[in-house]
Amino acid sequence: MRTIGGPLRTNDRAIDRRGLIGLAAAALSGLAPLPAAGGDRAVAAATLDAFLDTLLPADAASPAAGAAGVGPEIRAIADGADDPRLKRLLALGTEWLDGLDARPFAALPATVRTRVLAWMEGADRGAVPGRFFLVVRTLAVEIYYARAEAIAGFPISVAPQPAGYPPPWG
Amino acid sequence: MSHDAVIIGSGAGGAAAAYELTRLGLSVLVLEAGPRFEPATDYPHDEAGWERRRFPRKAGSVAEIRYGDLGRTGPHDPALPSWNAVQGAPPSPDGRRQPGGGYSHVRGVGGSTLHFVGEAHRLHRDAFGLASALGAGADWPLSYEVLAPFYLQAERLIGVAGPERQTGRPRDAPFPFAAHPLNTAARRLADAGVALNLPFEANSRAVLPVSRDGRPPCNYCGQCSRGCPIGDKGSADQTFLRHAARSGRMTLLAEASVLRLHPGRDGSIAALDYRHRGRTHRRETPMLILAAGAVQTPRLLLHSACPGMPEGIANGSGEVGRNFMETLSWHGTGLVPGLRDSHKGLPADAVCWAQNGPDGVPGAAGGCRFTSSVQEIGFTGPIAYAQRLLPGFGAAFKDVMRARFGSALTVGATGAVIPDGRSRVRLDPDRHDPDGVPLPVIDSVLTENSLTLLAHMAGVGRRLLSECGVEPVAEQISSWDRFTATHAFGTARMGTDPSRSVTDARGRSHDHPNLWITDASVFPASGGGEAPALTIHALALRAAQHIVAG
Repeated sequence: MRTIGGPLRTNDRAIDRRGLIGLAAAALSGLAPLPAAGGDRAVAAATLDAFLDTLLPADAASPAAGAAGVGPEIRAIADGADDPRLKRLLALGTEWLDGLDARPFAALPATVRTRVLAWMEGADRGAVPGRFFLVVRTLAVEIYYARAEAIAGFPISVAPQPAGYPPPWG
Repeated sequence: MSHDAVIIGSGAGGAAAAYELTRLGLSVLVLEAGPRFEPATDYPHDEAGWERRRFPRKAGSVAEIRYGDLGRTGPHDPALPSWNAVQGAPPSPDGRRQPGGGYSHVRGVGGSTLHFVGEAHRLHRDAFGLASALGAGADWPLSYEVLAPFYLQAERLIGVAGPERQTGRPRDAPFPFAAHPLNTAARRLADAGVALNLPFEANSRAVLPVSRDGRPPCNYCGQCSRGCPIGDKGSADQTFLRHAARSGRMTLLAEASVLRLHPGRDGSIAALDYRHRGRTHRRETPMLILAAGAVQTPRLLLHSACPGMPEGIANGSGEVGRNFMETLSWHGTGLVPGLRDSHKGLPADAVCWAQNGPDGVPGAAGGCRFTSSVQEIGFTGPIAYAQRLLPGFGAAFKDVMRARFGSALTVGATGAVIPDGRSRVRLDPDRHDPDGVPLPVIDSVLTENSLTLLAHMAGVGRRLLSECGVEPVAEQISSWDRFTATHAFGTARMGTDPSRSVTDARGRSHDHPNLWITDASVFPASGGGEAPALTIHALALRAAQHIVAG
């Protein structure tokens, strides 16, 4: 049998990370066993940030993911997750990115980084590169699009209340 | 302090019972296992990051539920499995899963009405005679006409807004308020429905369009399921419980978990034990109303087994916990070129009742209904679009997000469930909660009727999406592989035969003269996809009047 419900928490207005952690856990489902750690691999922060800035670059209306603080929050989520696979996936994924070229991933031209992400997006999700792309993207878009600065140009208020959306619509 | 009646649970049924009993002069003690919620501070929706906050969890606000047999997923129609354009299809298990929590509920003052969308539905008039008409499931032991006055009473107290006429639901008086306007997605869906002979009409909603009774009008923020911060949504705490509290005859204890019922020598329920603030209390129950919902009500009855009643309280029929009926649903979503603002307006604002009658779907019993569900299912902010509908990355992805946000349209379909011997709520033999009460286990298996209905709902849903101009379908969520019951029924069903039902037609236990059940566990049939809250309110109001009348 499976159990849903569990540790009971005091409510506050803080972001509920359980949902995001749950999404990440669900996205890890079906992932092939990760290579043995061979000692704890660290998440290469600069590599992750470069990946994120390629994923969600700056444009005329909105900042890049890095400027929006997405990287540190992803690392914090991984550090706090019960499932150790998330942190290991981040570590293995950033290691894989840095191993593509003699230069670290962050030092590659933007066009090259974009091609790498395009390949990862279509890669086998049962393996590290494809799953890294899926999981990090899932986390990144949630963190990013929760920021007020990310939705500049959207037909939406920063928050639904207190104004709501009285008619007319469309 | 003694009370005339003790009510277990403050959701749709407990709140309505408390309201009516206090209105008629009785004093009530309401024991609610969950906490209180304060709308203005617990679900404000007024800051960036609101989309990352679901309905809040507080200590005790979500019960621990176990899942047993949810059935196998066998050969299928390609339109049935759940998937979306970003995540793809999850790995195919052999059995159904319960992502996102399975049985979706809130324990708290107001119960699951706190996070409900606020649809206010009467059952289809013919739904009360499903078995007589089609030989499937069970009949209600009362008719639509018997319940109609109580539906009206509830609608008036809440302030329901609805259309002049509702398919399959004759009325003696109009809704208190005219229907809310349809948003852009609902209007597009209504146009598509005309072309397919599936007429959509304004949904009846427990949401105020104007100020009334100290509650403001809705400002159409679209976040009903995250909790209503301003009180226009007619959840039980804002309606029935407010009035009951004003009477001065209600005492409500939150965070008070009932542990066990104790039968008396005369066949009545003499007392109960409950835990509150770290201490166990015993309270006599001259009159007891059980309204803990279709999972917790049978759990308490079964756990209260004793030497004289080894099968549990009120279980002379053996039906307590049995006949569990889940929410059968299918949702399909896509983006419509040129559509805008689908995140604005009232969720579930338009509904099609054309196939909602017991024989509404050829080859299947019970019927179904279709709803404009784009907000209800969460497409009210950019995160949902990015995680579920729009793949990609980079500058092009950001441009598409900006261009297409607000163009999602969802067809939601909900259908009838016929009780099955494999579907039930039982007690876990090994796991207990911190108070020592065995955890409930839900077994819920899709029958052939459910699979036929589901395939039909998916087929019609896809035709509607196509007619709306969706290109292509970007997400599908289906009961075929996901157990996500927001509505649950049947586990203490009412009936005229004490050997096959738990309560009589008024909701009174066949076995214990002072025990009444006023929640969805008494439903002998689920209806054709209707939201149950209004029917629960009506049954509870009626039961309360019978209690007072003796």
